[in-house]
Amino acid sequence: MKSKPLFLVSFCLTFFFAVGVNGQELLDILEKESPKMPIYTQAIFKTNRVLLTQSVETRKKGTLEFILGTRYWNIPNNDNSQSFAADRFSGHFGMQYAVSDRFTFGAGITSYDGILNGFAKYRLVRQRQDKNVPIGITLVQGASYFSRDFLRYNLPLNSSERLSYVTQAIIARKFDRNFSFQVSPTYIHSGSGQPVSDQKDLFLMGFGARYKLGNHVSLASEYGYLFGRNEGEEDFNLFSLGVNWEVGDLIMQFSMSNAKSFDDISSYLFNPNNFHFRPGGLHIGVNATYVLHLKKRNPDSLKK
Amino acid sequence: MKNQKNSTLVLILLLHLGLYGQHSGNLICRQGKVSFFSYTAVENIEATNNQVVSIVDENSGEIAVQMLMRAFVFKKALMEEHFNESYVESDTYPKLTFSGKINDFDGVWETTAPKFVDGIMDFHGVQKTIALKISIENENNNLVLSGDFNVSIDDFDIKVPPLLVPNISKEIQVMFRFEYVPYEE
Repeated sequence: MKSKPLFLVSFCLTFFFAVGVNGQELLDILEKESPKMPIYTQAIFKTNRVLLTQSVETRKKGTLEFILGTRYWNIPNNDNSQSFAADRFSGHFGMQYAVSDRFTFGAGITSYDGILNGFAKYRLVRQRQDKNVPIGITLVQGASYFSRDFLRYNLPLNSSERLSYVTQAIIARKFDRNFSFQVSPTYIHSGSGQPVSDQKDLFLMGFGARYKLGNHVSLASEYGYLFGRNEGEEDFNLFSLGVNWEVGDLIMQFSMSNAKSFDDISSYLFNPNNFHFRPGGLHIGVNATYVLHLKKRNPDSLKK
Repeated sequence: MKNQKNSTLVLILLLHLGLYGQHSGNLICRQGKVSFFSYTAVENIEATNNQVVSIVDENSGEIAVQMLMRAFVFKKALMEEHFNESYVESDTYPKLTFSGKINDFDGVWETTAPKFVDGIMDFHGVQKTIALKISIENENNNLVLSGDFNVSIDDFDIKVPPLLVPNISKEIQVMFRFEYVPYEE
């Protein structure tokens, strides 16, 4: 009988299809059907600032951020100091608002040097995990107004010469879940022609890095190399080292730095001392950033 | 004799055509919804994922679910970032999968009484057997599975820093709803 093997084949086929697919095969199908949503790399840096200088990050739409910064330091050759804990103090208050996921603007004021500053940030390219976009690029335009003389800097009376501008392109990459790095080619127009003698147009290369120590704590550092500066006579390059610590809506940035200022121009330019651990070189501070969501999103949850 | 053989062939052919003509017996849900809730005296947290995919084998009662952690939407954007970066670590563990089977399934999708599903949840690098109760409904001729259950964050190795322990509940309430349509490859 010829139909016997045919029947057998048929039986086998039927059996094979009737058994169906097992759990793993179902999961394999789901892997194919998984939604293709854009996955942007998040938390390249944890806040809008590495420590003092701008980072590649901006906040999500409708987020208002308050920054309260403090900096304490001792002045050199001041052994008979009567001051409590530290000789000098500087405070900073700033606010910034994210108009969209890409665009943020902000302003701030600093007590010690009397600088008012404002900035706008635009996130041009966002690093992605799902597609081949290996870097993120953010553009920053900022301005600082020097309202009074401070330290040894005498400012011109003409108010237009007290205004300085900064333009930055921040290029960043999160290499893995722990390590992020950014470089920022920067152009600074120093209205008063300080600290580099009578040179108003300055170029600078900024660097920033973050290393995650734990789920809520990371190490951060930044450096700014100013081209054409005679270090020592014409001040020193910015260096800071610190720790970022996030607690819910609050982010604390503890830092050691040679900068006395908080804004993007004077922290890069006006640092009379190099970074060291003796009085004058060491400035210890905390920046507390509080994040307020003005526009809450609607997750449309199942619980009505 | 020859006629008989031919008719057997035709019969077998017809049988097979009938088998292949049907869909695979799998039902798919591409926009399933999963919400979770953490209620404490300090803070209420909730998030929803509207892009959960799920598939069921209509004949065997097997169920599989997969969701991307990044697709959860929170009220606060920063909370969403913390959730992904510091708690579920979604860059290392991007998805949650569940694979299970309805207990004592007899091939009939009864909508009268709730059923129990036993399965394995694979989440945050931990695989754990869980049992959950589902209710079966029939809406617009589509199969709908829904239910809720609790998961303990300790079971899945989610660490909360001591300072934030009062803000995050130890037991997270999870709700889900999947509406299925026939799956065609």
